[in-house]
Amino acid sequence: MSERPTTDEHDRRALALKAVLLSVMVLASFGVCFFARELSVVVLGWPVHFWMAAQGAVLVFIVIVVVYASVMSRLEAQEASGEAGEAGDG
Amino acid sequence: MADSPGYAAYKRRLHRILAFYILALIAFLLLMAWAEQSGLSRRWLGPIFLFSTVMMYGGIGIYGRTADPEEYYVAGRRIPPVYNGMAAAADWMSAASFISLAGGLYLQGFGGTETQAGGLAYVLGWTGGFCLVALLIAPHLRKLNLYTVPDYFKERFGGRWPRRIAAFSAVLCSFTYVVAQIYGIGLVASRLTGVQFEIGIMLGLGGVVLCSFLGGMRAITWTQVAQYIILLLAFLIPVSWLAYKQLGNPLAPLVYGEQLEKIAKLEHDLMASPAEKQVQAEFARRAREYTVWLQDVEGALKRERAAKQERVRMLKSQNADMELVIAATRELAALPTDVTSARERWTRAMQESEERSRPLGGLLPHSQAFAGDPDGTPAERETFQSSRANFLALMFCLMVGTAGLPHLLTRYYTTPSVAAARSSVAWSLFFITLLYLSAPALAVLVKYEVMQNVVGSSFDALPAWIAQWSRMDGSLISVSDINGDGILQFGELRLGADVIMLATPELGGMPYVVSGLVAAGGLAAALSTADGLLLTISNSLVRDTYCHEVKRNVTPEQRVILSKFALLSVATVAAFVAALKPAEILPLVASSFSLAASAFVPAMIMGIFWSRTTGSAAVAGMLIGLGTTVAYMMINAPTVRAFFALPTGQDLWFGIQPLSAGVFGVPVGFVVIGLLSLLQRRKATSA
Repeated sequence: MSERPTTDEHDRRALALKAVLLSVMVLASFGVCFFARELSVVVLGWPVHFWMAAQGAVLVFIVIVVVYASVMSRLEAQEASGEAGEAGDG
Repeated sequence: MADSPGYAAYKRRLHRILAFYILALIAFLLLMAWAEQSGLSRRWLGPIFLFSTVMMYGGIGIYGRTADPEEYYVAGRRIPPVYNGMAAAADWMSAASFISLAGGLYLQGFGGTETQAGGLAYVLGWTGGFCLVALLIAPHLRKLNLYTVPDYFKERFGGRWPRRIAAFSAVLCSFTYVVAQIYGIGLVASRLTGVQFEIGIMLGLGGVVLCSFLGGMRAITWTQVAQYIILLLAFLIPVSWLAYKQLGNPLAPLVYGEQLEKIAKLEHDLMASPAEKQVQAEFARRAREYTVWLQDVEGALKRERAAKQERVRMLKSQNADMELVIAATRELAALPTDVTSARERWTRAMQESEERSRPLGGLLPHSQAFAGDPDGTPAERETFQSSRANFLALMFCLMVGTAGLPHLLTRYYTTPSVAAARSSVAWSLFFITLLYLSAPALAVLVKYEVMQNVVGSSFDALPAWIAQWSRMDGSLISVSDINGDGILQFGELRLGADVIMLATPELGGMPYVVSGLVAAGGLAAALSTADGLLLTISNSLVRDTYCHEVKRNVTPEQRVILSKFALLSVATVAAFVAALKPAEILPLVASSFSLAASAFVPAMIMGIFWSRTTGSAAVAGMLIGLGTTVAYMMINAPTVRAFFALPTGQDLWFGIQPLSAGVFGVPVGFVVIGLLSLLQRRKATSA
């Protein structure tokens, strides 16, 4: 069952990156919403909980996805130059 | 990665076509606006919008027609990330996002009540899910050069059952989803042209089926790009218009915070208003009346019928005004015919009256986070806890469901490389965000408009759109002078979630062209999603089921032809189901997210990240996870409960609504897969 092109080999650094980014995502969404009542204060004309849920968290998500895409591309480029092309892109 | 010169030229050509398309679209809108100014009737504008857009989608289908399997299933795997991102955004944003999201946000505010969680959970869930897609799933699947999502289960786990179950689940959740889309198509098309709902379905569906039938993924990709542009314009133009009108700045997401404060003040005034209290008291009286009737349904029904008959007889004998007699006869005819339907209808009426007997017609203050009060009485505290739990559970299901919906995942199969798949997810999220940041803004602006300008107007001078929409379907807008003072109170106006976006242009006093554009945008949103879903269903049926189970030696060309005909028949069946008008769009869609979440995500993530996951464990995990979700939905569905003669009401676990059943199914799936894999490995090593 193991000679197929598998998906289950992972670079340590990639896994760490995923873990960090996912915890940021969980904090920005579930964390903020759990404490929404406590965050119901107005700052700069916006109720903080409402702004976070309607805009802030969504912007955080975009940053996460962009950071992931660019860091992974750099990691893969490093790997390709270091180990002389083992990249398996279709 | 540098592109080859040929690919770079291809991309340049695409950019040129897109720029030309956008200019043409704007020119078309200006032309229509000019035509309206110079006296073109409204009756013509709607059909023109409907036919020209649907014809265009069909035209792209004819232009992109193909019988080549690589083109039909994955668009030749050469769609540039930006365009794939746009197509995925349109694929993703369904009728629910476009038509119902702003309405849901209007009704539910921040997070909705405990029985109907929602609001910003939809915004967060539907965008946050893309983090999961980008980090955990899409690039890994793209690496394998697959054609469908069930293919992954075949590749990773081998054997038949993982593929079979994946194919079955793909069909199940996509079908629930496509029914909701076709319902949206019917709603918009019948509104645009004034034809019957069922004919509206056929009109709208024609273009989409032609397109995906002829061109498969290739044609769908380019229609979705075209549809994205339409729906973006259709959403942003009215929002910016309203924001400019109210705040003098068209960039709605940046400035609507101001209106939140004004709404809080208006809400405060409304809660104190004596006229509103009269309305609430009347609803409370009705709720009590229904409660009394419900204690003895049979007797109450008899009494009511006798009273109404007596009234008709009396009016006739007095030679009263004909209109009064007709009204009384109609009331008599409107009574439920038998005890069961009476119980059902009165229960619903009782609940509605009870809801509307609360301040603000049962709505929460707009920016209040969750119902109840964490520092209040025990009951209030419990309400708060359960409303928060339901909000988080719904958000979880929508996020995880995003990562499991097959029609979205196959979109990332069409990119040229794994890196392109990653950046394509980022582009999708960007394009989706353009809309999703404006949806809460729109809800706030509309609420301000209603509270400030519509409430308090006289019943003789109600805006025309209210009458128009309430005539079309009473569940969209219902309005009646409850306390009989001739003035519209906030509690007397009930807006359905599906109508708010569609009625926004009229509410803001915009020209009818904008209404036509919004309806065309809703149609584009529903059609683009229906496209992707129909393709997914037919591929699951033909590629993953028929070609493995029934007939093994099918040539790739035959497969494409079979897929095309499967697509036609699925579209027909789905249209029939949608014509029965099953439920509101938003809950229907949310339940298919729960299904997708529990069927696919645990097995996929375990398979990708844990090399020791076994095939049989994955099968068990998918079945038990999906089973848990379906069972939880079933035991709480009123019809199923009635069938098994269970007591009415609900059996909730931790107070979680059945809509978010995936919150149980997903963890169960993970645990089952983990435990069984460990167990099997141990057996294998000890044997």
